[in-house]
Amino acid sequence: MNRNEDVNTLYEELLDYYDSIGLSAGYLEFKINKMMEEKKCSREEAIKNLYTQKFPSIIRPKRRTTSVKVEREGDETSTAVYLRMSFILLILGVLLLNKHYVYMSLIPMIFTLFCVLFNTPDEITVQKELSKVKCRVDDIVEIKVRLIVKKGIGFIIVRDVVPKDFELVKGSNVRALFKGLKPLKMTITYSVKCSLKGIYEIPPTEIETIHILGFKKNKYFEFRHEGKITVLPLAFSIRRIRMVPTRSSIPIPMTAISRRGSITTDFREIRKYVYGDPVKFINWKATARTGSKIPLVNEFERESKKTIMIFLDTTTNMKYGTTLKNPLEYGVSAVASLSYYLLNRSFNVGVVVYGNEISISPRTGGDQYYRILRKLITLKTFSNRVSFERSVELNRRWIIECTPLVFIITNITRYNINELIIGIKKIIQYLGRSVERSKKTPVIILDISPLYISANKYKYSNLVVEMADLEKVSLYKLLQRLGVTIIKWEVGRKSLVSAMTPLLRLIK
Amino acid sequence: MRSVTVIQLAIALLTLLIIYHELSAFIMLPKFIGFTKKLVVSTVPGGTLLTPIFENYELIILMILAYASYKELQKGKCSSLVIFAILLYSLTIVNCFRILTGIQVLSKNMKLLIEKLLLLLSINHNVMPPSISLVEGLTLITLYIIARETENLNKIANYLTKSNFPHNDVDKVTMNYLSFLTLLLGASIGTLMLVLYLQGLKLITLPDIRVSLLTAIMLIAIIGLIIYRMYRE
Repeated sequence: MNRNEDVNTLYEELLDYYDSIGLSAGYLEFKINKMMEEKKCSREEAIKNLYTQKFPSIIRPKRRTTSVKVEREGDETSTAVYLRMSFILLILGVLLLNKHYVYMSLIPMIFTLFCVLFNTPDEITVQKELSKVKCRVDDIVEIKVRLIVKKGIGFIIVRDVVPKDFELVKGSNVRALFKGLKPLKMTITYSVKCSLKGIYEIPPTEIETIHILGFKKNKYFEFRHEGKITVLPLAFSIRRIRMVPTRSSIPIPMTAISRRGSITTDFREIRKYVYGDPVKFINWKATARTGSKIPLVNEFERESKKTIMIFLDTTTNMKYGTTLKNPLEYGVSAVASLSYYLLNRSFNVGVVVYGNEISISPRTGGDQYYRILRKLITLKTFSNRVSFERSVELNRRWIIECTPLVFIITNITRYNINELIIGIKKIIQYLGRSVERSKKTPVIILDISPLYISANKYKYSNLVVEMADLEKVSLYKLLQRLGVTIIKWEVGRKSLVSAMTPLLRLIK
Repeated sequence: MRSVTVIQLAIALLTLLIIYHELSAFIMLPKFIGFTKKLVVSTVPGGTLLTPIFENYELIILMILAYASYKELQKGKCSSLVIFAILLYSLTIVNCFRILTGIQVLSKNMKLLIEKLLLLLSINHNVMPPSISLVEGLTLITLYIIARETENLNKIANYLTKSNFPHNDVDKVTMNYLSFLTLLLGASIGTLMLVLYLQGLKLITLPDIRVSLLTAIMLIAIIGLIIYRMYRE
């Protein structure tokens, strides 16, 4: 295939693409010319650039094997046809002294004159409104495009581009409108669902105007909008489970009573009296109101709170499933949920994203939550730059100083088990004496098992998952020897909330 | 989309009626068919079986045309039939070519040949008087414009449907297109009728068209240039 044929094929594929999304060949030409102006390149290069922009991935549309003759629209315009006919009839009429021909020629001529009097729709203003510019994954955003066309008569093809990774759920972002004699005022409303976290630019609105009977050239407009849409990761609302404060075998933050720190004046909840509670905290009014036989006591927050370090794996180990549903996306949601839950209860939360070398030092308060979210929403790539072991080493300061509870969010496989064991051993080493005294290590691994995401499409999915689970069990045993608590989250089958329930059951 | 099909069907029916009328206006055609019938009956064994075909030749032609237009309609087209009707119509007003016999340069034999050819295509003015002929001509031109525009509309509607535009939009666009087309055609025909009416009142006269030949050509050139410039812009 020589160079020209290659460019022609690319052009035809682009033509197919634009045709499939409701834009004509004229729009493609407009884009090519714009690219030529912007990059100051030849037409061939512009076509190639445009093609690369539209189909950036390796998976590209299948090349045509046979050349198909494309029938181009508008090779002979209506104006040309009617005028030619009119002229022929008029000349015949004049030469042959026949009034019939003259009169017949007048109809297409007057018709053409009337048509040419009207212009292609022009003087367009577009305003775009979004119901929210900050939302979470799976949230629905309503988009309103207010369109005013003042002049011209004809068709208006509106295509309001939907951001990448957004899904159209209601209405239509492509519309075909008719502009009559009066100015056209139209509001196009549609809803999109945000499928993936990230910061997205508000895409442009593309408009093509067509003359009523195709007597004049089409016009193209592109309206750019300022602003960005921020899609935050999905945070599951972890239920608050009311438990009797006892000593737990693992240091679960909400149930483990801090030995240090005095009781503050911050009210936490009302609960039933248990042996050992100070009498001054009995809420007599609440007890009388409920008619409870056991008195109710007010509980207040403790002054000292634990530090929680969350380690999120972003290595290629998390690269399973689709772009939208993969362990990394679920891991990000888990980090968002956990940090929200813990920060709301005044814990110090720090996040370490290993693989990508991102570290957020432990702090408390609402600001910390947004600090974490800001880092998380831009997290999209998988990287093996920093291993878990190295990441623990880099953040050892926080581990030594704060003796935190460590959450590791990963997908346990045979490929990363050794790395995890070495890293956990290092954590134990840094934690020192405080850990040696207890049987359990303050390390919880949230294992995001992606088996259900990919296994759902098979006939014997349960069998496949069970077989794969067998391998996981042996890996768990290796980790449990170190005193680590493992929570298995079978994404696609269980929610994060139900996955966390076994953790709460571990409390003695 | 349905409305377009209905309009195209109406165009096809009206055109077929006009073709039928045009066919019945020719003087020489029945004679020629009668001669062919005699020839076939005398030469071909069992040729008498073909007699009904020769007797109802107009209907047979119409049936063939109807089938061809049905095939065209399936593709969303109907202008070919109208073009055929316009060509046939041109033959009915071919008598105006008699002016060619007045050209001095032509030889006597040539003039005779032209006379004979014109005689072949002569029409019965009782069946098709000039006023009816004019109305038919105007109707055919109008039908051609409508046919062509409905074909364009079909293309647009197909394109919109294929590109997943909302069905409501496609319907609205189609209806607006048709109403606007009707309006423009109405305005064009109305203007022409006004001209004819004013001519009837002797406000506009075209007594000797030869005198105004140069003026007409200049007018055509000027209007053409204006339209061309507007189109280019």
